Amino acid sequence: MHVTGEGFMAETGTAEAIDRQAAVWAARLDRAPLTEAEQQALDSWTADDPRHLGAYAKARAVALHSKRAAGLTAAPQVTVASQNEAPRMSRRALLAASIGVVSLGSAGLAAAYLRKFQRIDTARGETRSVTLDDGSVISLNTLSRIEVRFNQDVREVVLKFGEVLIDVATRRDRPFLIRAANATMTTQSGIFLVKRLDASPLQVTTLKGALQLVSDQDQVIPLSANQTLALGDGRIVSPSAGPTFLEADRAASLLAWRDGKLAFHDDTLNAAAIQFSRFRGAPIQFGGGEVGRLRITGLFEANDPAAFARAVAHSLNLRAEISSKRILLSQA
Amino acid sequence: MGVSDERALWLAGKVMPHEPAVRAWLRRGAASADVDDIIQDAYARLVTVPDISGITNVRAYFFRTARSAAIDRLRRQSVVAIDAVADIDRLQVPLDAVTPEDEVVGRNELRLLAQMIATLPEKTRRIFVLSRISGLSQKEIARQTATPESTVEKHIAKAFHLLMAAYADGGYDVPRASRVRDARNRRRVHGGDGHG
Repeated sequence: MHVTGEGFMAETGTAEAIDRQAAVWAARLDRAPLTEAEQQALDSWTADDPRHLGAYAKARAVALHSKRAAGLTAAPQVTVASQNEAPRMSRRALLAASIGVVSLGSAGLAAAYLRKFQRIDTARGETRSVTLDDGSVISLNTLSRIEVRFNQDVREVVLKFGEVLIDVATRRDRPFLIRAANATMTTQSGIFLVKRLDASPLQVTTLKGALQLVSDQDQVIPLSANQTLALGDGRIVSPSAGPTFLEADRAASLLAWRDGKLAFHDDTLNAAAIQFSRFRGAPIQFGGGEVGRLRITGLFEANDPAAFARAVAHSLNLRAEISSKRILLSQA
Repeated sequence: MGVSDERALWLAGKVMPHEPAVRAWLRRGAASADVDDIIQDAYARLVTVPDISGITNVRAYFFRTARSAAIDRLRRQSVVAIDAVADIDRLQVPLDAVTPEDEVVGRNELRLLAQMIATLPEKTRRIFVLSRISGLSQKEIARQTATPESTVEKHIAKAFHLLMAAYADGGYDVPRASRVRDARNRRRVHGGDGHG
């Protein structure tokens, strides 16, 4: 047993706070020369405690050294092979389009990498699957957009909106980053489902492997296999809502869209209508608010809301009026 | 006490790449001592050494400095755990520290830097790249991105802080599951919900 243990624990937070303060000083100095008063404040701060001086030295080291990244702009131009325009996918046949991204010299290329990326979209009702040059496979659900930025050091995919399933090929020396909303996820291998729809929180599910998520507030949240996490606005929705484990049979229904299906499990008709609205077909409406609150379970063709409406009408004893403009479900 | 540019660049180029190894070694031998504090103490010593021209094996020098900082820190505690002292005594500078690795560090330096910058949060990275790679002043960045100057400065500070942490973790070894800070954050984030 360490008698001094508690004293050390009390100081642990301080070390990080000191680093943070040192970074603030270095950033201030980076903006403009210090005023006399500021210089005095800095001198007295670094004289206060050797740890302050040590942290400040490291902050200055980072500040000056990172300017060497300017040398990276001398890297050769990145050329991104243009992706073959993939035809609209049938629901079942997912095309494996291949993206060739030319690897660059080891001079790195933080700069080039910011400018060049490959954008991949899906239209309404379309799902599609692409294979990246490292062997990773990304499947996009309907109305989704990603940007792929690869270089020799880092593999990065940005989910702008929609939903993607990412099967990350293992590359120990090349971390895979997934960015969505305000979060950055880092992994080396695994299968991950990431969903970012307009007003909903960011939803991250790990089907295989593990990842580490860093929110915009620098919270570090590790996710292991079969966990799911919802983040709203870069924060966990509520402090008690950390990652939760996925129920055993949930994974299959979460992935039903890959086969052109929508799976519901005791979901309200309102929720189902919202999901169908992201695919082709007439919008589903309800004659009376209580109808939308009825619940349904089952697997349906995503681009055939009419068939869904007929099935629902039959099992819940509702009336379905189906036209090309809209589908109306109301009490019989 | 100031920090000269020359010394800061020496720290970044020659010393900091060894920080993960020194941390790992400290954690092994001195479980109770706060590694973060020792590392900061060690940097303070490295920045106050009057002359670094005689230091040929920087890695071994960093290890020795950290060891002596750890011992001094223990001595300053009013109550010292006996096994902590024993641990420190067992903390011999590892053999591989005697082999100069400065060459290797030089080759990997830019690559490591590019990787660290790439992992910054999006907005912070955008501003940091304008600052470091495009060489814009904070004032110019503020104008170009229509962001208040104070916000630009905050993002630069955040980038510095994250890069400092990245050096502590060792940018080569991702994912960074083992870093000390993780354990701290995990506690903060999960608040004992049982899934951490």
